[in-house]
Amino acid sequence: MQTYILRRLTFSIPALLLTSLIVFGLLHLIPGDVIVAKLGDSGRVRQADVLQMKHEYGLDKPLYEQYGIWIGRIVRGDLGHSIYTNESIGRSLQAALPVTIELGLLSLAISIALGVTLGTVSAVYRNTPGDYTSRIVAIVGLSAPDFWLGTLMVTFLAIWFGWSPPLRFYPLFAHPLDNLGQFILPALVVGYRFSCTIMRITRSSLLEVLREDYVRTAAAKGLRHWAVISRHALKNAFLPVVTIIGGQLAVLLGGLVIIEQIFALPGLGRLALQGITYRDYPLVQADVMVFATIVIFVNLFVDVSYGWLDPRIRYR
Amino acid sequence: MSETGGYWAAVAATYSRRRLLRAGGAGVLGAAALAGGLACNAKKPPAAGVSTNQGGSEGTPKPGGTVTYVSGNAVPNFDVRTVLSVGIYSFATSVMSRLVRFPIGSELKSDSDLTITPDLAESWEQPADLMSLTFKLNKGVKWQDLPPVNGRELNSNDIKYTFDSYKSKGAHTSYFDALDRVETPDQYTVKFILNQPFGGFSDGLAVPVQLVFAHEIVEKDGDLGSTMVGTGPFMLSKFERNVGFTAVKNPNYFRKGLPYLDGFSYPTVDDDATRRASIRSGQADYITVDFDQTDDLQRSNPNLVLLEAKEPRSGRGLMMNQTKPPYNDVRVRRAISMAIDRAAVLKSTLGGHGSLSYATPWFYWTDKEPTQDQLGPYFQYNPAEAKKLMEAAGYKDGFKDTLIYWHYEASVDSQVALVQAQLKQNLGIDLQVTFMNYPEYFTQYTSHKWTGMFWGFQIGSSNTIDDFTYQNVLSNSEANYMYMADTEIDRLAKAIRVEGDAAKKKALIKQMMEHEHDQAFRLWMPYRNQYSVLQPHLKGVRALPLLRTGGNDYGGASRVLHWNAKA
Repeated sequence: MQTYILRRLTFSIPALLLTSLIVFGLLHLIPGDVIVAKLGDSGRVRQADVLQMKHEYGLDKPLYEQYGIWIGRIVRGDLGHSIYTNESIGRSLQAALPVTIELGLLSLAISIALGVTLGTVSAVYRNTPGDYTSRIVAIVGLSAPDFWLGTLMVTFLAIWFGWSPPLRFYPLFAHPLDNLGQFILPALVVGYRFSCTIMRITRSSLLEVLREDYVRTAAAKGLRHWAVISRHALKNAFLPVVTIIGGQLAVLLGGLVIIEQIFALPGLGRLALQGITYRDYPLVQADVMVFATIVIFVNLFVDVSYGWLDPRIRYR
Repeated sequence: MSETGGYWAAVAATYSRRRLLRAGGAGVLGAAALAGGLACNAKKPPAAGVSTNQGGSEGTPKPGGTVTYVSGNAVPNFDVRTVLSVGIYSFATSVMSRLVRFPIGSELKSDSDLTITPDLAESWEQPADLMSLTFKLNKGVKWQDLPPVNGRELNSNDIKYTFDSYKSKGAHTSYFDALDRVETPDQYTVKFILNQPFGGFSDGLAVPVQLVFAHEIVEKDGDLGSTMVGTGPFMLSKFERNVGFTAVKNPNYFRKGLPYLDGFSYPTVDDDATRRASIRSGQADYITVDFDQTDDLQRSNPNLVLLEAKEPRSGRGLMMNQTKPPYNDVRVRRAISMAIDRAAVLKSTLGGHGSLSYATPWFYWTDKEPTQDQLGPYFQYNPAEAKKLMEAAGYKDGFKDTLIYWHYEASVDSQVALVQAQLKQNLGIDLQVTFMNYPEYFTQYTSHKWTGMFWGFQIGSSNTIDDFTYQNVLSNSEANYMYMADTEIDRLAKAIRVEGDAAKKKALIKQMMEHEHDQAFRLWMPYRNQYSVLQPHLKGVRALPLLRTGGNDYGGASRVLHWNAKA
């Protein structure tokens, strides 16, 4: 297992390098200029000022040189400074990352709890009103974009109950209850959306497993119905679900950009959006590399968890 | 576990097809009745119109309390030398001061009162040759008692340091092309020596972005990016990126008795719906909205106060590359101008909540807001005459070209589409419209890389008369992004700059406006009114034209007169 993990970590280096090349290249291909954007609100931009600022930020160097300088800094752990805000990117990420991770984990927890529960109920009570209701709920969740749902919730909760998302940010360890109050609604919105895919996969996977001989044998032995489901069926049905969860996590993290905006959360997504809007190359590059690293580690965790779920799976 | 067939067989045994159809029919009728009932009972929207309650006329200001102003503008950093973003100035104008400013609140003689008013300077004079400007500073003005300035007295060296910096590098340089140097004859006197006669120099110093900063911050940090200390009525107490600012009252503010508020918070909320939700729930005390959001808010929260401000000049308009055919032909420009139904654009894209617009605010060149028929023959909608002009110019069947724009707000999309349709229908001009995002759009505009047509804008933060009548229109000006190149405009621009007499200046500006409308250089489009939404307990707020005096954006200086009736 250790060898497997080490091997995967080694392979992640070229993956990250390729990601860095792609993000650097794509960003510089997009038309628009961070210096012009920075000077922009005056309605007056002197070319001499633009050239001077470009020189200060090293943006007048050839692209390959800019890339080399950036990669060299990343390897040394120096993420650089945002061109638009002048703030240390490391410090910006340090503030933003916990927000996104908390929202992501909470959403994931809700999506797993909701999705697995509904999927199990749906499979066990197949073709009953309960099953149909669960499936309709899942279809609605898959069809409705989470930003639309989020906007509706924010608007109607304000109109009907006079409630709106807090305007100040409550850090988790300083104000845990207020923090939970702040995160629960966006987490529910995102969690619901992702629970729908999990629900459908759980349902179809469990239906297949429920047809297996060993499940029939367990029932025939006299085990209680839910003991058969939880101890025998679910564990084996969970493998494809775990795969989906791993894949969904990457999508979930990327999709938090809009939710963070709607619920005014100062997370990584919002930071990245700001960076993209203003062509803040170092900030966006750093954001993408952080996301890529998270995805790599999550995928590794998912793969390793297969071995725990199915003892037949062994890694060499 | 039952099999599928068993369950459905049981269902089929219970319900015959006829019973099911009857139940389905009854369900449909019931749903229709319910929908009809809901529609009848739905609240009818209130009558059109917006409260003109200015808030500020009610009661005597009382000290105390805090207020929450919610904004959608992100803050890049605090360095007022390098950034002119509304995100920073909407806050910095409450924390820092200017040498002179525009009147606010009860100082205003009218909504368009732009009298230069003392701020850090108590008085000033400009000689007849307009080659210098001398300011006498208020004595005893203290910097806020925060490191690294620690409450020392402001002096003339602070002013010199600020404007030397603004002139030499950064985002302000182009405002000081007429400044030669700054002298400090004594601790409380500052003299600006100009390199050309310029009667509007003080106007430029009064705009919100010309904030005075302390050299200690630059010496300690290397820049102004992370520390904000000023001489204004409020002090920065906390800043969190993508969360917002908090400010507290400056106990040593040089205008005694002010500010009324103990402090305010300024959260950054990007999403429109969330900002509206925050004022509905009472978390926010002040937001700004677009015209199409006012009815909704009035319906759900009739207690909210809505203030409307008419914008006296245009933010945006149709620019044509006048250096190349076909736009170098005045007949083509006039034809295009007459082929656009501005009244229809105003009605359909802004719901009538806007103004017909022109380059320079009307109060600089006339005494009353002009109506469309007073703006010359080429400002009128006259497609038949437009067609004749195009024929005379040799474009009987129109032509193809491109139009680039940026989605500044929702109404711009509609305006562009409507103008595109009108030009196609009336003149056969087939425009291929390209939407660009902001950095790309701005780069094209300011680098003079655009060709064909461009949905341009005039200026961002300053709105001085010098910007309107010189910087943006002089043929060799760096801020001339609209390819203006007319000898008469150049002559008038230079004459306006050196004219010291107010009445004569007004007459020259009027001449320039008339010439511009005659030549149809730039086709300004109707511009939206601005709406502020307040809780009823927030007092002292005036909705004013132009970004520099009222509002939540560059008008942050007016917060000194706001007060909370609940305090």
